[in-house]
Amino acid sequence: MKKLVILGAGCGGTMMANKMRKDLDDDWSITLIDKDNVHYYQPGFLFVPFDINKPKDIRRSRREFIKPGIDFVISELVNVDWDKQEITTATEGIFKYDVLVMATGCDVRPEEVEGLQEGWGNGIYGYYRYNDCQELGKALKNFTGGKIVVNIAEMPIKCPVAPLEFAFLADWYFYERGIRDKVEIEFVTPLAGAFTKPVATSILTEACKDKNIKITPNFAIGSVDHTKKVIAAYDGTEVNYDMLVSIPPNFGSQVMIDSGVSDPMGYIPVDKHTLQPKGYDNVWALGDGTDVPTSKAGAVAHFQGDVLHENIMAYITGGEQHARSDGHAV
Amino acid sequence: MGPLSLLKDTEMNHMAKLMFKWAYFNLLLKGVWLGPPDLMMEGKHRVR
Repeated sequence: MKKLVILGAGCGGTMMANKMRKDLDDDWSITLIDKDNVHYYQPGFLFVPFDINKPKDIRRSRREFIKPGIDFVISELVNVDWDKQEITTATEGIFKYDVLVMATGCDVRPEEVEGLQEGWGNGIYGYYRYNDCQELGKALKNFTGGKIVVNIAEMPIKCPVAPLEFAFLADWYFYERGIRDKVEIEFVTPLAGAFTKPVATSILTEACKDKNIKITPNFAIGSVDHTKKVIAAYDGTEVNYDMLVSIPPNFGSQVMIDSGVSDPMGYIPVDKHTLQPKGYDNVWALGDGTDVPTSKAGAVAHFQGDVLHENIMAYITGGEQHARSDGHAV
Repeated sequence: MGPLSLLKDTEMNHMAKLMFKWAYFNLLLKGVWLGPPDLMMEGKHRVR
């Protein structure tokens, strides 16, 4: 029997497993591996702090979305070896593969900015993790006035527009509470403007002005002092805060770094159109864990999934692989 | 895109974003085909 192994049962991996099961015959087994059975609806993390989504609404069982005929294995990954075509797991042994799809995502790492982790939960909050977004919600409820700084540490990050959405939602939230005039909101970004693209930047800058949200661009954060409540850039610029909503550096999977199949930040290097690493014609990657220069978002993974599905089926049947990803999300 | 204005601050956009959760769990994760690749450029203008 031939073996398709998929690493990561998040948005990209689950979608790929289901797509492939529909079209692969019984000569192919599909194994989907992840460290646990919890699937988070990550777009909901942004809404939990404002009580728009409840935590229980964005947390589901991974198994619930996996089609029959797919073996779901729960174990930490230990090693990925493209040359031997095998995956080593912590508790379930070694899995050989004929075709490999990697959808191992990325995550925030506050410890990568000096002083950020030390102040986490003490005037410093985030919303990119399940517990973090709930803690931020509690902090916002207790916030009665002062300066909120929303800071992107560096790009790339998951869902690049989310920090700006957070600032807009905060504007609405404090307006509804009747204390907007007591809250200053500052958006501090390493980008040259409000967003990555010029047309969107122009429109979103105007939206910030309308909402009295100050934009501080070109801010490359170097350190955080949570005792003085100050963030400092490498050029010496400082911004003080009463509450810091931090978007820490994003890293790909540590296992990819340890296995030597990624760049130093854990992102898997692939051709941006074929989504394959150079020299390995039976390996593909999609979603947030790749190094392609596009948004890290579920919508991108969806369109990448269509490309992978078509090309993997062509690879298996010996046909031409015509599909190409162009990086668009919506 | 359809009734939704890209980049506009509207209730319709906000409601659509909230409703996306249903599409995510019921269509996207299940690998349902959501439309042709041309959909990606809907509402955008190519720079020539």
